[in-house]
Amino acid sequence: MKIRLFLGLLLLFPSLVFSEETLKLGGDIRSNLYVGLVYGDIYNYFNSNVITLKGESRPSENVQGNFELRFRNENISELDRLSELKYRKYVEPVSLQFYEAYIQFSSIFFKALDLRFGKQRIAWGTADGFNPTDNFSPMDLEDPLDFKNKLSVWALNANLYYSSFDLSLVLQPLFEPALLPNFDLIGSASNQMMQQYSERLNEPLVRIPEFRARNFIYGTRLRYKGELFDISASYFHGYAAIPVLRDIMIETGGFALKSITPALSYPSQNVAGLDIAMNLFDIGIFGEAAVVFPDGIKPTYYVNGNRLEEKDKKTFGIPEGGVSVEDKSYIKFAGGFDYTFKGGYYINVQFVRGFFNELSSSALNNYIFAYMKKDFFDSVLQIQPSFGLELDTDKDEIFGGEKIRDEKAYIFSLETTYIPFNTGRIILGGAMARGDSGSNLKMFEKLDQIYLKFRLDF
Amino acid sequence: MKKVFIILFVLFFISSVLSAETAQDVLKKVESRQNEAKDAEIQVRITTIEKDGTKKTKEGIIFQKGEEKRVFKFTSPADIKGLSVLSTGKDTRYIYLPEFKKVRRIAGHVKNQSFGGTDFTNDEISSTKYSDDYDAVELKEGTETRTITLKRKEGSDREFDRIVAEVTADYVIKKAEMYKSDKLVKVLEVSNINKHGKYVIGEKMVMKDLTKNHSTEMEMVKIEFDKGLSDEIFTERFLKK
Repeated sequence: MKIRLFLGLLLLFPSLVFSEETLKLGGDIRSNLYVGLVYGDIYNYFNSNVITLKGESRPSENVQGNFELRFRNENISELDRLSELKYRKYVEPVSLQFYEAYIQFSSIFFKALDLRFGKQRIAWGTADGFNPTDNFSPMDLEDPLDFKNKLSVWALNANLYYSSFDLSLVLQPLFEPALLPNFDLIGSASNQMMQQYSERLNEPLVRIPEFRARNFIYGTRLRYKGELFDISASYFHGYAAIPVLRDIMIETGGFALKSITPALSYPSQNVAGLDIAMNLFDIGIFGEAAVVFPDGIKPTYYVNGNRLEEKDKKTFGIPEGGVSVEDKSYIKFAGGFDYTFKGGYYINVQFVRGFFNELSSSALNNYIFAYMKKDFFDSVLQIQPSFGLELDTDKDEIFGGEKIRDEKAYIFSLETTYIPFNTGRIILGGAMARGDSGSNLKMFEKLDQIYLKFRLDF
Repeated sequence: MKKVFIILFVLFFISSVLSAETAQDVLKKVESRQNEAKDAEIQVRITTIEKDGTKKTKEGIIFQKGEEKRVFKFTSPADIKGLSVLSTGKDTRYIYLPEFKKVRRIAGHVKNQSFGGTDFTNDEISSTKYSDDYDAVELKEGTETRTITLKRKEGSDREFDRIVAEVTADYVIKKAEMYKSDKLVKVLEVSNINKHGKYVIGEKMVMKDLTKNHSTEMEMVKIEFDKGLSDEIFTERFLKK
């Protein structure tokens, strides 16, 4: 009897604490199917089914808790053992993504102070899609063509407001890596030795920054919002978005090469940023620049655990020189404009210097990205063509490659969205990329695809 | 006695001439009426009606203070819940996109674009002052209402070059016809004109776009005036909450 009473109270208690007034739930259901047009390569198809659950609790005016969970079912797994058919995790792989879970205290300690603790998305920068000053939240490249998708991080985020100014201070003690796509984004395979001995190549290792105070990630931003423009200055200390080649471990047996194991790590960097947004003759102008001060990384070779000196590299057929990250500052930039023409034709054009995987001064290329949006039939149908063009050349010797100048590449996509009712969307789209050898966008050639996406918000 | 009547008649005539309102006076009083309250918090329901009769409904809250500060927060449907627009000046607008956790400054080119898929433009939703961009050039007296004609000023970038508005005795716009190059493009009809405390407001507005054969109804579900709204509501900080 007592147990029943206890269980009854236990069931009743949450509803007393989390009454309808304090907890609000919402979310969406999504189903996506990508079909690769280059069969046999990395993108035959990819399917994901996601239920997103978002919750917000406001037990008082000054305290707010938010969470976002994503329940995912992805791809029919590549089964190749009979025994795997007995386990649901292989037949129906599912995962739980803890996207956000944070608590915010507003005006608790000081009236103008908001403090947010927990896993959260930190979004800096005014440019659209490419934000060189937005370095806390790593990229989510599950869909490699969606450059706006980011992961959240565990951080302490303080925002202080005063008149037209606000000051942000962020401390992120735990490193969170980017989710990489299923192809060689890093370019470690450009290493000449690894190309030559590819059959002896082990899967690369990756070293995450250890959890130590000296490895903490932090930053600050001061913003001014005025009548004519908004401007902000920021500083970030942390790590680059993607790992680079740090060590190459060679194992030999006698005079025969047994294996090569690359090891990657995340180069640390300091970033000073500036961004501005304004309205000029009704045209939206935005610009974001980041001066990056990287810690240079030159790959170190080990043979049977012993570090190989520069002078001995030739003995093993390893070219001298070559760096993963140059010890030299550089500027990344994203700037552009947007405008809506008569008839509702919206365009957004950006010039970008330095793609997210370009981590050295010599590796930077110039790009132009543009997209257009137009609604039809009372916003029931929306068409969005997008275009990206790689303009300039980097200095290819950074990976010890050939000096090829004036590589060009482009990427094109077309997306049609049908909105049959307020909260539902059906999206049909496709993308293709072509590029000269040595261009950066050429890596997307393998992703020629069409896709079909469904979404329902609740 | 005859002299007294003549003097009284002359005095009455002079006072009538002196107190006769001009079209511009009426416009000023309409604006004054619209911005009479120190602040307002209004829950609205916006229903768009397509050509085929299909209806789509959105709900939101409007916070307003003075003539220039306004926040519109969508509360439903789910796909735009939390999306908010802040206006703090004629060309100073921000939008909060909850999906990206970002506040973006909106450029002036959106002001004549549809607000949230409705027949109201962003400008029409956020602006309550017409005298900056229009001159009231004509006034016609009617039985229950008066009609003023507004002509766009040189250099103004407002969408319509002429607006003909019917105004009630309480200086509330009951109907407005919007013209582009002498072509009637949109019609606004206001109904359920009621008193809330000392303020008079039309609780239902219907905007018809004659070119698209499309209309939008905006109903004020709950209206509260002079709540003492803090300036903190009209900040980016509030948009993100």
